[in-house]
Amino acid sequence: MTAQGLKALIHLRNGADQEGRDILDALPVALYLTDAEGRLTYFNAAAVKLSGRTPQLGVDQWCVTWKIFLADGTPLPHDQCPLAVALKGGEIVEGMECLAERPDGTQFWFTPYPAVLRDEQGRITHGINLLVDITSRKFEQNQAAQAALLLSAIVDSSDDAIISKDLNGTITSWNKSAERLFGYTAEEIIGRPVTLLIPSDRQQEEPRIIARLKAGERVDHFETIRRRKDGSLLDISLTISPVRNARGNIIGASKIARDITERRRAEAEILRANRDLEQFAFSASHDLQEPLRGLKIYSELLARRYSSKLDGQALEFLGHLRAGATRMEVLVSDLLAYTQISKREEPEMVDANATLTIVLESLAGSIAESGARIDSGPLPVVPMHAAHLQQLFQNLIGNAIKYRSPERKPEIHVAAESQSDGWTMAVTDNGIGIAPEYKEKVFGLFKRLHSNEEYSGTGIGLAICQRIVAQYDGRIWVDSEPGQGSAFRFTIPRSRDGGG
Amino acid sequence: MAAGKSHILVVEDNPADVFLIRETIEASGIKVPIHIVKDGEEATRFFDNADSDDSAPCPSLVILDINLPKKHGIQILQHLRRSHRCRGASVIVVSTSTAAKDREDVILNGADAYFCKPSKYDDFLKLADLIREWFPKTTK
Repeated sequence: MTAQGLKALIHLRNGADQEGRDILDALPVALYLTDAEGRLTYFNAAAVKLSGRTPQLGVDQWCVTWKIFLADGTPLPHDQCPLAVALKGGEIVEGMECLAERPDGTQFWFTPYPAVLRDEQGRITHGINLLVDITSRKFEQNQAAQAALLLSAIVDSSDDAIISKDLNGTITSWNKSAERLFGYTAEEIIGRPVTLLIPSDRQQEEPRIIARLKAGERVDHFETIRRRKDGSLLDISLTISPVRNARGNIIGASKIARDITERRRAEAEILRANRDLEQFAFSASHDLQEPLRGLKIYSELLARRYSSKLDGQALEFLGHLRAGATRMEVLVSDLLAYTQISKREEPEMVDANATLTIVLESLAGSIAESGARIDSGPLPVVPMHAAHLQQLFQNLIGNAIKYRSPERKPEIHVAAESQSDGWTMAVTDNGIGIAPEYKEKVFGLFKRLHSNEEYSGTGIGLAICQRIVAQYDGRIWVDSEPGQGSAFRFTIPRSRDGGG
Repeated sequence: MAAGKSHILVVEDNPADVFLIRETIEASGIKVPIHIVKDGEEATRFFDNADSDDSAPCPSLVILDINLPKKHGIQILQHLRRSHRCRGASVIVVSTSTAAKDREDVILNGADAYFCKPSKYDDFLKLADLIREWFPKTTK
């Protein structure tokens, strides 16, 4: 505040005219004047409002406030306040942040702007102080500081490495997990290029990532490989988002890196175990066929050539032997079929109506024998291998005939419903149905609900269906009312290229 | 030729199948001596022997199992086609495999016919038709 300004203020205050005092009172900033000893000679309405008290002119000294504290909370005696210091000839402290308490216990933050007025001889004649209320700004600062503190605590406690970089690819921040994951401390790595973390054969990834960030795009769950300080490689999933400044310009990126080494290892393990199991099932079922063939053919020869030489019980034993061998042959060939389902080549587009016709022809014998009535709605053209769809229809319709109710002729309906992402096909029957507790189990390998005397079968048919549907990322399930019938439904998604 | 009498060589390790093959040869009506060898090495030795000794027997027809101890059927087939005395023999491969690829493999390696071993006796007897078809007519 200039000396002229101060003089004008004092003139205003001393002016006999009411208008001058009204102007000071109307000022929205707390203001007071003192004599050379610091005793209050004037204060405005804003000063009363801010300090929460009405000072006594000529008695109150140095400040209008009740109690003052420094920003760190230590009490500040009135005679050491910035105006007191200034009046005592000390330096004028500007921009100090103080806390004050009102008589009612409430507090406020303020910044004093003290000044002194001197006469021609340079002696201090007056003091003046403006108290600017900064409570709301301090509150916001405090909030921001707390939020920043919380954020950095979150970043530090994260299991994921959280890194930021500028658009030149220079690392600008580095959390604790980044230290743990990559082996560099924050001190070592901040300010160095992020390419340090990228293996030499993947260096081309960085310019592509930067280009996407500059376009304002986010890179989500990008699975790649990065290099630790010790040179070892790790599988990670990266999510990289552009960071903007207050004006909305992209100034860098935040990068969240998750260690997926363990997940990758587990995935590879599962894949390998599955392949081993498939290979085992294939070899077992393939190699079992050979001795089984001998068993079958020689029990047949024994029956053909030596029946007359065998007594009743020997013939019965031979019958069991032959039935066992025959059943095992079906099991082994079904198991072999199960292991051979795989979608190695891209599926073709197959007309389900034509496929159904072929299946009904091959089931003609059992259809005629059971008196089954089979009808169908319009069926779609689906992206599948014809043999797979054929096997699905064959097994589901075959089951619908096999598990018919003894009380009525089988009525079987085949239908399809188009969905946004594919089709749901259904084979509905009026057979014996399935109790709710078995609805999941029936799809398991070798899972059978009936003895071989009641209904023959290997318990592989529905497992084959499930495996086929799974190959196309579809699912299969059954809705059933025991005693009333079942509806087997499966979904076939549209192919990814949008065909079908 | 010293070993003028034509015969059939059966390369098969499983005695159960040897018996069945004997019955099918009998059912085919072709009455020639039958030589049996039980593994791959024995089979290649048989051809080597024929090459080095003109009096040793040389088959007109070979019935060859594909899964054999010591040497695979394909190797025996290749060995046979390189034998200067026996290369002209007809070869019927018998195997349990129904895979089209296995059938192609043996035909590409010089087999004349492929027979998938069935599990019913009457079906096995159908091998007799192939034997009649491929047994060289001139030497009959």
